[in-house]
Amino acid sequence: MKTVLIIEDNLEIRENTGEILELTGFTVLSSDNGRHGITLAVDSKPDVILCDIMMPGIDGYQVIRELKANPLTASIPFIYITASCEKSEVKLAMDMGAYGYIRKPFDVDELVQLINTCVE
Amino acid sequence: MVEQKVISLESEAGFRVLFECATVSILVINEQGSIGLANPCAEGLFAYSPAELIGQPIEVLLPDDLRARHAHHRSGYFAKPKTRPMGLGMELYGRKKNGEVFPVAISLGHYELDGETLAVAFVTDITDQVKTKKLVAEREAWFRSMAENSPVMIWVSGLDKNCTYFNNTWLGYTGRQIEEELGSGWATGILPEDLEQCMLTYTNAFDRRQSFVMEYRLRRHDGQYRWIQDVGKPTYIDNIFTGFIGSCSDIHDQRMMQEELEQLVQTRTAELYRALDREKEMSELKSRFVSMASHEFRTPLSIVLSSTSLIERYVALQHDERIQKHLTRIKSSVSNLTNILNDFLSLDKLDQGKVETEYDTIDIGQFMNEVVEDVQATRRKDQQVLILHEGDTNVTVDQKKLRYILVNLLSNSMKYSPEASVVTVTSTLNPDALIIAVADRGIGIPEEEQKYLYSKFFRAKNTGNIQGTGLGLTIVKRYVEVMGGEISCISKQEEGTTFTVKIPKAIYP
Repeated sequence: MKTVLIIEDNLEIRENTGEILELTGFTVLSSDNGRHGITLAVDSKPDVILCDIMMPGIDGYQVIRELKANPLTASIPFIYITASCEKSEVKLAMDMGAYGYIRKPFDVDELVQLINTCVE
Repeated sequence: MVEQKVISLESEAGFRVLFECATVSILVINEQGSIGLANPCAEGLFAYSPAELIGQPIEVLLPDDLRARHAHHRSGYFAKPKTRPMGLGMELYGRKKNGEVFPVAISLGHYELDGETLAVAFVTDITDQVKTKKLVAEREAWFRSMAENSPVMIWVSGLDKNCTYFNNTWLGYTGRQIEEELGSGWATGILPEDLEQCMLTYTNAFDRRQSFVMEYRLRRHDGQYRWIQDVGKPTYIDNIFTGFIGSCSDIHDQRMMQEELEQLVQTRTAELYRALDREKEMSELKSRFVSMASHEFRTPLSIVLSSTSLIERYVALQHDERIQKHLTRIKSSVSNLTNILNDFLSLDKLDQGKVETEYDTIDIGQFMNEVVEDVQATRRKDQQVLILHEGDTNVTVDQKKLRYILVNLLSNSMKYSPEASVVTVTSTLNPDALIIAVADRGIGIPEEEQKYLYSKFFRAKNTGNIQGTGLGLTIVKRYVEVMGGEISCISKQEEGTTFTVKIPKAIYP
């Protein structure tokens, strides 16, 4: 069973996304902040990381920067979730090595499809 | 050498050469007025042939009307002959053979020959000098007339810087006598405020003999001080500095118009900058709105969408408890979105001045309990709300607005305070006003950001990802103001915040 790590500060979105992925057949790990999320990623080496960009404390950019710099986590596909519609933000995250991105409000099937593609 | 020359001149040959070659006309006459000798220059001057004048009466060389008088003068001379210029102070004229009369200057001398007194006249044609003199006189009269009739005011000063001349235009303008203006009298007409600068400019330019242009206010004949432009230039005669000449024009109206125009330009520029600032502010507001709306809308929409998908799956799985949870989530998200929309609408109404007040008499205690009930959803784990009231409990207020104000202040206090903390709401109804204070021990507002507290879309840096539109406090303040009240805030980061709302009683109908 593939593992997905969700890093998202909004409780409802974190829980809903987790439930959807669990019902789809993934093992879900979740964290409500960037620092804890990085620790979880290093410790459990998930198959995919799903991360929010705008979070208090360490934001999504910092999370991907640290994970890509760490050989233990550098190869884990990173998908970020954003509420922003700024092209520059999308480009920045992609340039930092993200596998893909998904915009809020997201279509559940699209999310599942994106995760499936990247674990395959 | 000099002696030798004198000796040679004493010989007759010497005198002859002098006589023949002289460029002055020489005539020798006897007491009867008969011409005995005329040199070639004299023959040429009067246009006679050589020797033609010999034996002729001297009067033939005079204009007709002077001849009789001349015979009388001649007798007078021979009675007391001496060397002197002729006709001192008179204009003398000669007459050519053809009758042409021309001005002359004559010197007289005499000598004795064989017991007879002979007079010698040295005649010079002064036609050119007379013409030049006349021309100079005419020119001077012309310039003087021009100066007097000039539309500009003219002054002239001498070497001592004192004025020696003012034209009629100046005198007409100041309404003063020439004696009052001469010397430095003119300066008494300058506005005292402008005098020092004016004299400094004049003196400096004068000492350096440089042209100057200055503006000052001069008293006109009607007592009004008016702006004058004075252009001064040094004057020279034969390259010798003689003083200054200046011309002045009244530029008052022009200057006033210019000042008015400048004032207008300044006002317009300021208006333009204000408009630009407003435009900038609007543009900034717009981008803050887009950024806020993007985040604040997308989050509840994501919840709605994902909860809906989950309900579909849980229906198939007959998982009623989960279905209920997601239905609650959807409702809460929709309510959240509705609140945001309501805030937009309220603010728009406030901006358009369309908000009116509606007063009811309520029981403040009961009202407070309802407010606390309204914010239950925001209450964090183990948080407590303490309600204290002092004074009469019946109060006339616009309860919709007061409810919005208190719900907003109270839910802010809960959102930004830790779990298990206490939020205190204290209300006081005194004869003048209803005062309500909402105090928390939350994260506080950074001091440097407190000035933006009531600005649209403002969120303090330390709010992190706690949801909010940045519109609540803007509306709260506007509502308080609509009711004629005021709001204040005391806050310290990491210690807590107290908002105090004061609504004057006098405003209630």
